[in-house]
Amino acid sequence: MSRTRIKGKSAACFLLSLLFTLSLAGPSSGAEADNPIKIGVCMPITGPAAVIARDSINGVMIAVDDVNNSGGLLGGRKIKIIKEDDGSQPSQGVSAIRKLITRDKVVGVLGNLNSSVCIATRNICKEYNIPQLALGCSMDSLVEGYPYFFRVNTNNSFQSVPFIRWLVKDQGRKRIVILYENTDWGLNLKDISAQVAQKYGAQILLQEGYTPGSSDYLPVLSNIKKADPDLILSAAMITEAAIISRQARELGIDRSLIAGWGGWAQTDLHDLADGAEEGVLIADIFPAGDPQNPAAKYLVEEVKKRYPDSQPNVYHAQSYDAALTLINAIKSAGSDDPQRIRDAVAATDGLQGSLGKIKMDPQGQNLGITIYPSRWKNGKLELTGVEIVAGEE
Amino acid sequence: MKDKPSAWLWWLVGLALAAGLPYIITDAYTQHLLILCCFNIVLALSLNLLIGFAGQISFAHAAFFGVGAYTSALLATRLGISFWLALPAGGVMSAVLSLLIGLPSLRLRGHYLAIATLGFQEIVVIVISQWVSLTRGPMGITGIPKPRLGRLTISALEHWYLLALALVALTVLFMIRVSRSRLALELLALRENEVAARSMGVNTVKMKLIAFTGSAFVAGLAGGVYASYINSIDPYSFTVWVSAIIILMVYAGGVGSIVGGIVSAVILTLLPEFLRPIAEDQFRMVIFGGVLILIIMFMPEGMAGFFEKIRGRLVPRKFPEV
Amino acid sequence: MGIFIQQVVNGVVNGGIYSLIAVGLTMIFGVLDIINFAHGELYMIGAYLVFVFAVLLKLPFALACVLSLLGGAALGVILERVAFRPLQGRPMANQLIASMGLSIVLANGSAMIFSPTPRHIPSPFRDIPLEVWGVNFSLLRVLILVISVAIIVGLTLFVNRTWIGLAMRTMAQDLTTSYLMGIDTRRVRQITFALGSALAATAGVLVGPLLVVEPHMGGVAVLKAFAIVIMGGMGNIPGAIVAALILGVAESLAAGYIGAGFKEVIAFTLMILILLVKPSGILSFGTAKKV
Repeated sequence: MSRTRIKGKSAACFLLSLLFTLSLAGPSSGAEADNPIKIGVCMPITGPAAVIARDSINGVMIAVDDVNNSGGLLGGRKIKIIKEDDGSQPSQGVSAIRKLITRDKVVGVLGNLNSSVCIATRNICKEYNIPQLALGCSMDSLVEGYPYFFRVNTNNSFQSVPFIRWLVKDQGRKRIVILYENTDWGLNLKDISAQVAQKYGAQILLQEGYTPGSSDYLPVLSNIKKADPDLILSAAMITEAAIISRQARELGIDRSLIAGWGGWAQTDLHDLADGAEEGVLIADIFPAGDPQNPAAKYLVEEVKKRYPDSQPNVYHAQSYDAALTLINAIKSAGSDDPQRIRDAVAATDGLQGSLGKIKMDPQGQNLGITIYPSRWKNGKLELTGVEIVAGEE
Repeated sequence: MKDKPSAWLWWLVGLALAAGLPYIITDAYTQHLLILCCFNIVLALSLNLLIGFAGQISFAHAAFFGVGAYTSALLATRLGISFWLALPAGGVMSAVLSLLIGLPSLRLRGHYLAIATLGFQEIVVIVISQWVSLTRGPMGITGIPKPRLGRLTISALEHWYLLALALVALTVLFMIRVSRSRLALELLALRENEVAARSMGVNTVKMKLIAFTGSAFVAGLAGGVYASYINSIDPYSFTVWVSAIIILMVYAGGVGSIVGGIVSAVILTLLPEFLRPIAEDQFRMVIFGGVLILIIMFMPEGMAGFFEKIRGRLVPRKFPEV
Repeated sequence: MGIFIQQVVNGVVNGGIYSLIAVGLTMIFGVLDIINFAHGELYMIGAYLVFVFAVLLKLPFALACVLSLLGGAALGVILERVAFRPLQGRPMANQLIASMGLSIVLANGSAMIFSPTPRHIPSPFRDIPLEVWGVNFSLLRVLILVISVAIIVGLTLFVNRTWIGLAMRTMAQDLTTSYLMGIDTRRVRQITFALGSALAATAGVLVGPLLVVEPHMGGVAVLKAFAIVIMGGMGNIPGAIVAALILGVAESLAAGYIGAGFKEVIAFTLMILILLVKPSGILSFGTAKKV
């Protein structure tokens, strides 16, 4: 058996071929025509979060296309978006960001979606002094200590603390079950929820965790039904929310006991949940079509026009706002120097976004977040009329 | 087993060329890719010890990689233990885990062994992601400190590459030494025909366990270095699909071939990155899957076997060496 | 006690679905000696086919189901011819890896064609909740269980009472003698693969309206199917059925009494225990086959 032979000569041969192949991957060729302003977008285009990534990128493109179609920035230069896939994996994210920064020479980065990926990639942006605006990554403490990392969308606390406080104090819910997904987002929200609820005097009867992607919630829901709560808190992605609501209906659980975030608030939920979502309360950050916010109204129209296959949702909105913030920063910095852009992003105050008026706090978190508790009724989300300003607390 | 000094010379030349690469190619993205290649080479070679030499198959390799990464990361972040001590600790932890897997696997073969190791792989990932109090579960471990060598902290990409390359060199050395030892003969005997080997006095149990623990130890070391390089790890970087890709690297390179393992690890690491500009996202993955199928269909002996055949036609040989 | 029964009932229904997927896999292994990683994708494609026929083309639901089943079988035949027959006789790992490549191609291909958006399949039997003796479940679930049982019974009769079934069992037992006995092994291989794939597709058809359809739903399912196949003994159809039911109930009880995250571990832990204690499978008697 000759397979274990050591082919010394082949070692040198392959290294030469390696050098050759790598040279093909060498730095991309010189200056581009028209000198565009390059911005990188790094999202999980493949993998379980692909749908959210798609909607987010579409939101970004709406803002970018608007700018490009109305004369561009900095004296007629157009914005060029370079997309890369991070597959929801930190190592892939790091590869992608390095490529965007060192190869494509982007002056700003929009991304990532998953907190675990952001944790890795914000180091790279910090190393190269490139401003990075997250399109998700809602774990609370991500922005502190990273002057190049900003977040226009909500973080987990903003989204949950005021909402739960309202539910417990104003709505008088006292017997609470927390249904959480076993991911960084879900675990973080579970911890925050439990803390806040107990602070205002509610009792946590049960905390049931599950792995997203699983299709059977009957055991967990059976336990919940037995515990007889008056509030079920659930942060779930749309697929899980749909299955949970349908299986809850199977078991005869009253869905108006459920209060949720994330997928529960997406307008597609009605199709997937087949009406089982009726009565569920949600902490909506982007009430699609809020007539009082002109940017929101505009975004909803644009999404319906350009992407008729999807319903306008918070992912379109938060990404649109992030892109808007970056674009606005380039404009007010008057230059494509990443350092100046970064400073302009940090100074954003009063910019009208689809989520509200964007104002950056000293750490890099946008304070302009408002929660609109809404209820599912007849396949549509109905505002309850309550508005809780989350950010400036 | 003749000792060929000329072979060593070629390896040294190769090593010198490889060490010089980051100074020729200064693009940070490519440097990062080279570092990833190094990790995959180490993983492929260590798995080759198990598959190529001992003839066993294991889907648990990513688990060993992950356990090494987590052990080293936890020791460094929770107990402040230095990288140079945490690293072998990670390797040892993986080796211990591999005994847990190796012992029950002793009487399994073929498909059963494959799926049993797959089961272990899954269990390890699930345990890591559920044991939140120890591993922080899906939130992963962040802020893993960088290694220090005297007054130098290894943070520049060039230095990381050299560290990774050193690991590769050590692994290659280890593999070459093993392949020239009596151990290799026994492992090969085990691979070719277990029953015959036993009747010749080969202690097949001991051989299997050595193969398992050896390959796991190296994978664990690689994990420790990887954790420090990437700076944050989570359970989903070490799934069964990662194991599958490493298995593929071994087969694509040619089972039992060290050079083949290196070449295929490099090519399969770079392939998805090369496909980035060419194809959109999901299509990129479709192409990757297609390439896997083509490789396995048309190069059943892997690249090493393929080059063997070509070489065989160019340079006729009389006696095949062992 | 009530909740215990509820959990058991839940588990039995899940077990029924698992068994459809696992039986196809074990059959293919028994006759063709192939482990097909892409089996989960056949399940996923079954669900998408129903989506295409019933939702996009608006065909009557029953017709859509039948067409999807046939589609699954057809795809199985194509895969056997294109991907597995050329690799016949090669070491096991080759087929394993080829099937992995197939899995990646099919899952991402579906994501390309249908986009990753999750889909819902409205079925004429909506998940209308029922309650019997304090146990809740939906009409749809009952139907799934009934249909699964019917299919399994039909399959068992087919394998035990028909000539083709006999040929399959012979090939599973001793391939060389099968040639000697004049069995058209190529034809039987094709039929087996088509049948196994059709079973997986059927599972997808049944489960589609119950859950949400998305391109990567096959990945999770197939790993559990592997565990079940090992537990039941590879190639052992009754073993796979029993193992599937045991797993379904065990998972349900574990999720209910210990925690849902923990439930994922059950399948593999059970599998490894069985491998340690009785490697040839829980329902095997006599000498072990290919362990």
